[in-house]
Amino acid sequence: MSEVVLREVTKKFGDTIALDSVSSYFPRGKITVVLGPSGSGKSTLLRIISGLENPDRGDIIIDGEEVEGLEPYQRGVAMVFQYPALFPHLSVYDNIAFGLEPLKLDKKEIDDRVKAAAETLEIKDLLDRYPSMLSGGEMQRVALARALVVRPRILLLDEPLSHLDVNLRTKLRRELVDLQRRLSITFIYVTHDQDEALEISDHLIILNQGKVIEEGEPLKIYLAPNSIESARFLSHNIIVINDELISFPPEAVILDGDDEYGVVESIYPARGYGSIAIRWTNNVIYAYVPLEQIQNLSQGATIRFSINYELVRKWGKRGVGGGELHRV
Amino acid sequence: MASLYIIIYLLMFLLPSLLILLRIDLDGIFRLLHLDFLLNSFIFTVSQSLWSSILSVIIGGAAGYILALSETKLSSILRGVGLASFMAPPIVVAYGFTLLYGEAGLITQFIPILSFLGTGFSGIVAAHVFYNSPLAMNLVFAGLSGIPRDEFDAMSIYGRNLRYLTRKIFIPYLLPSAFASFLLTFLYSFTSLAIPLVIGGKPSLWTIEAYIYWIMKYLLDTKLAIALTLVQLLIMALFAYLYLYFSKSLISPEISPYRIGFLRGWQRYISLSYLIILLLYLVMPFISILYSSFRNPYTNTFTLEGYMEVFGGRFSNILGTSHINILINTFYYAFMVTIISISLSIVLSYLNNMYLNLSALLPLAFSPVTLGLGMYLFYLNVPEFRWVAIVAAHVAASLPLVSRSIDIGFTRIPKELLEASEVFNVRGLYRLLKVILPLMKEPLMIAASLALVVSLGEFGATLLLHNPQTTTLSIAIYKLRAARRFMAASAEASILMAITMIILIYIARKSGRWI
Repeated sequence: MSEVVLREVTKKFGDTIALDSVSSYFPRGKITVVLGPSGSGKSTLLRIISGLENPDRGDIIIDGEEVEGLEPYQRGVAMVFQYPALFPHLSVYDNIAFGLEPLKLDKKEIDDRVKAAAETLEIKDLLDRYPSMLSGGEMQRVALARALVVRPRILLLDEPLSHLDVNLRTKLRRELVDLQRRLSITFIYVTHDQDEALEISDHLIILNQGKVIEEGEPLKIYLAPNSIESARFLSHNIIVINDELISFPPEAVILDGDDEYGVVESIYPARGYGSIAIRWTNNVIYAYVPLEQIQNLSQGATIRFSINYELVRKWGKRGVGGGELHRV
Repeated sequence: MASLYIIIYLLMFLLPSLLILLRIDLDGIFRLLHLDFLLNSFIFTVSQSLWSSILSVIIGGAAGYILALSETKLSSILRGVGLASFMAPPIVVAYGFTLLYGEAGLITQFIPILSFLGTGFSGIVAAHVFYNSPLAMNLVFAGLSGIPRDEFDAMSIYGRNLRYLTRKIFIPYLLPSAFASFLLTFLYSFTSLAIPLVIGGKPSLWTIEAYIYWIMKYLLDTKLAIALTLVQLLIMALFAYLYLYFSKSLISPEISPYRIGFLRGWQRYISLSYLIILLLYLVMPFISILYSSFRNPYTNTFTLEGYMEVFGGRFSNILGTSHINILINTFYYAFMVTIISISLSIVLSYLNNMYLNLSALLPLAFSPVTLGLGMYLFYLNVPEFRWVAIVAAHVAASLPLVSRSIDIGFTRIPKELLEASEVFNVRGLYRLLKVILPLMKEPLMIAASLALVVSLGEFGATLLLHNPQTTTLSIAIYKLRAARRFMAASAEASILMAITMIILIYIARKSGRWI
């Protein structure tokens, strides 16, 4: 179990600033998720922690020790990539053992570790196969096993589930959380998927355009973001009322209430819950609706609802004038 | 369009080649079996090819390995120079080696021990290594560069040391490329003509290819030449088949630009020194030619004499024609070859028929002199067709390269664009002209450049087919050197080299990914 601290880390690629003075904390034995859109710098952040890239400026501190200049293996990290990166000419067994041979362990120790990891990840039957004979999910399990056998202090995961289908992604996501709870390794997990981030993170960092825009407890950030960028990235409703910019999550719209009137513009059914777009004042806002309720709605119908004002964030006046939040 | 391709293909390659087989005579084969020199020539040809292939793979492969694993500015320079070496006209290379490492060569007069590089068996092997080590370098480089970025990262995270990674990952990855470059080098060295003629000199150092040329040109013994060609053809077909079989897995269209500094500290310094030595080895023959074209070896002064002699027509008696005529021939043939081979290749790509595509690769199994022999038998009954025979031989030699380049360009046109044109009912010739060709501007230019380079530098077939009126620059260099007119030969070689280099620089700048 290790903790990681980044201090003022900056990285440029040519004229592009990938990371701009990033300072962050990755707590010991927890899952920290770095959430951000494509090109926000999250993979660069991971590569810098791993030692695959060197920062132009700033410090990386693992367990109180500055690790600049250390090779990846000297940092005690392992990494799972977006694509499994298995070596096609090596069997599953040899792929898992890949990081163990240079440790000069005896054969029995290597064998024990490989088999134990295979057992944990339920791939014991695949050890003699080659990567071309595996499914996407199996390959990612092998990649995880390869990472775990070296007994890393920190496991870095770079969108490891992003190319899997939805069902498998959900299943593996939960298995990853269980695995982390059992092993208590520090996980640093990068994703652009908000649902994934909220589901698995103990600690959430939101990165945008190379800057940390928010960091903390995931649910707290989701319900009450500290910046308009976070609110936008978390798909909150962002509207202007009386020249004031406000935001609130779709969950803040309560269909049982009767404070406001609106018109249903669109209905989007989905598994578990659906969402609807409501025209309210001059804005369109989105609300989540349980599936059983969505069946009773129709496009163009007038709908009554309330807004949980505890979840509304105000971001200041826009232009002159303005005033209190307008109630219809 | 298919019938048009087939007619031109029949005339430019297939019928002349089939004629060789049709003219096989048992008398020629029996006489061949009783010739002592055949066995010696066979042993020499095979052994020099083996040595050339092994050394090219080791020397070039090591460079490819270093380039793939390190970030160095030398990379683009070395790959560019490598392309120049590999595509350089053979007579220019052979001549450059004799100037550098031959008797009283530019280098051997200071370091006599290096004379083994310019004479005899070792000289032939050294020149073949010059030619083919860039091939091994590029194939190994491409083989390792095809490793996805994530796998490189996984190696950095888990691999720890270079020796372990080399054994476990890099060698399995580079073995197919190394083997393919071994087979190709063997093929090229086996059919080498200019190098054994110029560097080897004496018949005991002639390849089978050189003997075929000699028997046909000087003994005028067609039966014997055909019998010997048959032996060579069988061996070449075997190696060409092996190459095509093993190279299937080699196609690595996109080279990842990603490099990670696996070579550090002393490994890096040794590697860079190695690359610099290889670079010098590849550049020196070209420099020596340019230098010799301005230096009078007898008065030891710098002068434009060589160029003045060439342009002043002083050696028309040796060459049998004027320099201007030689230039016109060279460019006229190159231009014709480019038009024909590009047209054939476009038709091939458009038709996308497996058998027709294979037909374009078939000339790979034919050596230049064999191509020349076929054209000789097919066309030279009518003396006026001599230039047609030369053009046809050049077309056949360039077709595999040109068609591959255009085919790669064709397959990289986004499928969606072709489908979109079909949706809007843009089909047939109109689609070819309006959609496909404009999208293939770059590969077409590269393919045209390749056709030009092949034709400009072609030596074997032209040497067999030419007469004074159809002499090209390559032949002029060979004849002037044989007549010991070194300044004039160097001037001619410099002109040919300069033209070829301009085209090659264009190819290198437009990226080698279309080749």
